[in-house]
Amino acid sequence: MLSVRHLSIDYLTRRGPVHSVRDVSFDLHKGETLAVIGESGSGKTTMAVSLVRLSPRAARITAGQILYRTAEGETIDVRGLGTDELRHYRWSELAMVFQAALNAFNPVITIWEQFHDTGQAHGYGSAKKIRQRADELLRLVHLEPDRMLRAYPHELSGGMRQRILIAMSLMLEPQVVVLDEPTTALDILTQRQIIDLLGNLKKRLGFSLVFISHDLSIAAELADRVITMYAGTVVERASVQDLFYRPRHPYSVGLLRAVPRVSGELGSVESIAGSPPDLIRLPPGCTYEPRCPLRIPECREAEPALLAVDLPDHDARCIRWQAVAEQVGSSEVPVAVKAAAS
Amino acid sequence: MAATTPVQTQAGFDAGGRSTYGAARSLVGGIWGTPLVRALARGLLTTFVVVTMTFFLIRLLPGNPVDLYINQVIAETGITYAQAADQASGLFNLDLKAPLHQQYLDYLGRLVRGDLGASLLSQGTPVTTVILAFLPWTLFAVGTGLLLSFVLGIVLGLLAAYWRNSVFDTAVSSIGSLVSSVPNYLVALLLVVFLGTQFRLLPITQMRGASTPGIPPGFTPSYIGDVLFHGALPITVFFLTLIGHWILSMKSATLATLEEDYVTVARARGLADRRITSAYVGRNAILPLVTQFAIAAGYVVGGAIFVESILVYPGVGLKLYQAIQQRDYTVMQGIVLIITVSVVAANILADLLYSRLDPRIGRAGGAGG
Amino acid sequence: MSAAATPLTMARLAGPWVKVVDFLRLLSGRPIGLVGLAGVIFFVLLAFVVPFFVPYDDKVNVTAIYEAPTLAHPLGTDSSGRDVWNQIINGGRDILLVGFLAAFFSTVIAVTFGSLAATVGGRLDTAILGITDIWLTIPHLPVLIVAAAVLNLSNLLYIAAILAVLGWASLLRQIRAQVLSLRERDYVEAARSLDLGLFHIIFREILPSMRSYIVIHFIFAMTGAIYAVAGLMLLGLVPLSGINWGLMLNLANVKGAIFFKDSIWYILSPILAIALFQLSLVWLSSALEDIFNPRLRSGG
Repeated sequence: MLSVRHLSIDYLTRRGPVHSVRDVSFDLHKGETLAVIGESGSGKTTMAVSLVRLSPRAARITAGQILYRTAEGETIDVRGLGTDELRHYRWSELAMVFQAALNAFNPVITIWEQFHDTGQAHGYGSAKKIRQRADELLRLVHLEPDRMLRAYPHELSGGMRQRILIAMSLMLEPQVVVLDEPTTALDILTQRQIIDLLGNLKKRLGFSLVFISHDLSIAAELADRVITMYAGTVVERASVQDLFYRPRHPYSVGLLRAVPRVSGELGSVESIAGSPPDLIRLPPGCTYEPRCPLRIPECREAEPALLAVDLPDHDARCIRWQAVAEQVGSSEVPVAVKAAAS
Repeated sequence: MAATTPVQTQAGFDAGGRSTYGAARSLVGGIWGTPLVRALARGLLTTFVVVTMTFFLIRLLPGNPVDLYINQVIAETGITYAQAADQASGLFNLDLKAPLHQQYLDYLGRLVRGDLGASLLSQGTPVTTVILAFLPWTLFAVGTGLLLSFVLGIVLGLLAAYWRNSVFDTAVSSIGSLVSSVPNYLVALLLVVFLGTQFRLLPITQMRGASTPGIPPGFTPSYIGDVLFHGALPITVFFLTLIGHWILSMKSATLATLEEDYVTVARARGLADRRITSAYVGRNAILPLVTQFAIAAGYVVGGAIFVESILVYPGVGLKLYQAIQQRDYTVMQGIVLIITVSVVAANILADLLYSRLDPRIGRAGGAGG
Repeated sequence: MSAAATPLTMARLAGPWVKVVDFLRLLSGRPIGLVGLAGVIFFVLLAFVVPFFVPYDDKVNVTAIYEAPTLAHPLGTDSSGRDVWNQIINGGRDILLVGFLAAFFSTVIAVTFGSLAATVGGRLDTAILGITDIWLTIPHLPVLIVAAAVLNLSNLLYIAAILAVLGWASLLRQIRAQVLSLRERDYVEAARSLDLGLFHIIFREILPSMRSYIVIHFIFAMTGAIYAVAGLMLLGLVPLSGINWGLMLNLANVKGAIFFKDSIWYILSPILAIALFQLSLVWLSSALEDIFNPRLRSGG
């Protein structure tokens, strides 16, 4: 479906180029849900935005490929798309749903007009046809079409707007939907609704989903595969089961231990000491090394490549992944639970 | 829902469960709440303040025009004080024998009825007639200049924002701000000096006045052409001195709008650039400028006096200047009143326009939730 | 003791200079601001300092009317053979002074009543706000013109005062808004709990953070005042005496100098003087706005 190979993106600033994305590679298969997890500054949003080539002016893709396979089996090089082709690609092949649904809509026109705009831009058909489709989509996300379409964005709550945006993203039946922090700005109850909604929609419509988050718990609910990003690069790629039960990178372990349990005792949460590295002047060795509890002198020498570990379809960027495996121990209980229990 | 009991009906409760008193109160409250009424009230108050100020300026201070006029008339014609006072009261809309506050109230009363008094110079000519002879020209010159500068200014400003830091942007922004910083009367002088005297490009003296006598007014091409010929200089001056502001305002508004999330989302939705520029960027960026436009309209009318005097263009500004020189105080008062009314009206219009254009304002409560 | 005191004193003395150097460094990133500042300094010196060395030369020389610039007369001569450059030097004082005073008074009024309204609150606040709202919509120029005509102002101080009285409204609103927002901040609470008194709170705690508004408004008020005064003088609505740029414009207009080819230097000189000074002010203030507005500064 989607193949990202060795993608590197630099931000040009006065102090020098910031290497916000470095050598990121992953694949998205048909019908799969991929979670991209990382803290802020890990480069996940920068990477996501580049998938539709909407990076800000100061950003430059310095290397890599973004390959997309259409429903007909044709492979497209996204970086090479012309203006019109790019316009068509956006939203009808890959729909990118941004984080700030609060301000995602033009405040001076109605929701209906925004649907109409989207339809018109892609030659969807007559206004009547677009209207029918909009009604259908809004009902899919459990919203009342008449009321929503007549409204202006500011008249609706954040949760409603997020759902409308999700509905709109499915309008052209894209093969891939990318969601950047779909639940961050919302309250707990709405988060629950959105997560359930996404799960249902995916089951019904069968698109491939990529979502970006710093929140591991969503990954647990929705994802099939997970990649964790740190300091601009992928540090672990695994299935969701593998990641939660059998992680092989100290950063992933750290993330898992940092997830508090809703029930249960306090005091079981550990945060990761230290802070992410400066992306302008990166250390020569592993970028996680300063904060890593398992570090050894060799870690400083060179940044490790993504190494295959003892499990199939599972890579970790760590030369000590075996030590991680030992530390994690039995693969029956999720690491997070173990951390909480200790 | 709930049926009204006989008791409720007796107490004046309507079916909605509110008393008629309560209904009346909320009706008034509703009306008061609308921006229009509040703006009108504010405008009336401002006009009232200005009218009062001018009245007392003219009436109260030592050496005030009314007394001067009376003395002048007495000196010239030798009539008695009483007779001169009578004449003055007729002209000034004042009853000089009555106490001051009475005179003031009379003045206000006449104003409300639209009676602005008569010109001191051409006795018997109502001030209203005088003003109506001159006001259209100011509105024409100022209006055209303002409109042209606005339209061209926002286009240039939008482009400057899209092509930020390009040669176009630097050129347009600098030239615009440069010309707009020079006082408008200096621009007028420079135009006259360079285009007229030095390079003899334009027949300045012939361009004075609003139209050439001999060409009958009407919607004929020759008259319209003539009017444009005479109005060219003032229109150009207003155009030049205003455009810089629109360019810079639109540029900064556009830059701010371009950074908004919904623009990025619109691009992600694959919308065409044209649609994004017009409906997503343009319509949002222009909002603050509309208010500014309306407000500017009010103020340029007030400030036209300098330009009109230099270019000898018969608008209210020039008339005000003449009235001052000729000590025609009733006309002065009248013109200041008209200018104030137009500024107030422009402000009210600005508020209304904005609340119409921006759906976030002025709607009777959103469907929030 | 004295050895230890000297570095401290040095630091205290150097303090203001350091600020000046810092400020200049900030400005150097914005060449327009530097040019503006240079222009303002130039004209201020020209109008206030140079006249001490080059007093007004009233000598009439009927044989040298409207001459072109020469070494002796760098800007030519006027209708009576007087040196134009000399007139320019001596003619700036009145206008700049009125501009400065008007801006100063209006700033004082705005700051005083704005902070008062915000700190005291309640009925006083509502009253002041109401007056300000109405004052904002009053058309300054016509009222000023009528006042000038009716009152026959000969002393420029009165003109400055009237300009100030007309122009305080917009700054007052800004000051009030700022003070309102700052009132809730911690250091104000601290000052209040220390019972430091109203004036102390206003002047020492709150005002320094509003420097930017005040300075920019000051410059803006100055441009407005100069525009009004020069215009009034041009039209002869203000009794003129001595020599100033406005008077030069007036004479040029009245004596028809704008229609003679030769007199171009006479008419151009005051125009350029006023225009260039206004430009310098505008450039300086836009550079300052740039500096004070962090969003614009960080934007790429």
